[in-house]
Amino acid sequence: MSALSKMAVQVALQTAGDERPDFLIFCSRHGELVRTRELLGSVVGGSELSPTGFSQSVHNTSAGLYTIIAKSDVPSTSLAAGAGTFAYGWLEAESFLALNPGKTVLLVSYDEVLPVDYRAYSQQAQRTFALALLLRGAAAGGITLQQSRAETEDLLPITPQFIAWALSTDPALRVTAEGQGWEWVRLTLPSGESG
Amino acid sequence: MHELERELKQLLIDVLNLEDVSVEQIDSQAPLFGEGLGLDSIDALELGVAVRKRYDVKIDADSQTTREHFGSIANLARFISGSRAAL
Repeated sequence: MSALSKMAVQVALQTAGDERPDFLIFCSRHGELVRTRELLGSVVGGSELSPTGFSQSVHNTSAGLYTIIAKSDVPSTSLAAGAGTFAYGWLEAESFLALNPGKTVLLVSYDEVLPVDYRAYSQQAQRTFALALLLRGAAAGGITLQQSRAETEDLLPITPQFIAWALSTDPALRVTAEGQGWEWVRLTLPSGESG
Repeated sequence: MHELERELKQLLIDVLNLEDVSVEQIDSQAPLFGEGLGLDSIDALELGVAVRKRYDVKIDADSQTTREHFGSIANLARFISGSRAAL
């Protein structure tokens, strides 16, 4: 298993615990790019490709490994959507929960710093992170994502910003990724109820 | 032979990324696939590529004897030293 998949599967297993989520969303902007870079190096160097490297270089590697280890047979999707990857993953989760009341989604977001050769092509700050969230629809309150006005492009990937926000008490998190503004909002509960 | 077996165990750990396994924990006679270390078919390919690279031996993927050669560390060591002697 690559370091990336180990991180993703580890947080997914820890977060799911004894729960059996109904749908899995694995989102990663670059996925197994470190493996792809190694394979390309082998091709250029004329050496044999690593069979493991090849079989685990696909974008749904982490999702596949998670389902094997967790013995899970529920549907999964693996997303990549540029700098906005985490927001699109969340959108997918909210859509599923809206259509399937009472069900749960395991949303996993993970990436690692780019291989050196690719860094010149990225404007983003290089971060390694893995986050897993077990989400269910809230009858009241909760957190929702909406589109918002685009502001200055964020240099930091969305996921580390989301983690910091989730641990804070700020009412909203606004980010801009590739010209698209996003806003996570904590919905307030009607007075008298508590979260 | 023991030195070669030790070397093969280390190779196995390195190429298959078996971080929590040590050379001492691998039994030379134990089956590598299915039971024992529980390696799978992709692991077999990976090990085959590594052995071919390191020891410059010919491995016939379709041959029944290849299965036996890769049955355990002891078998693999015997196969490699046999191939070297034949050169």
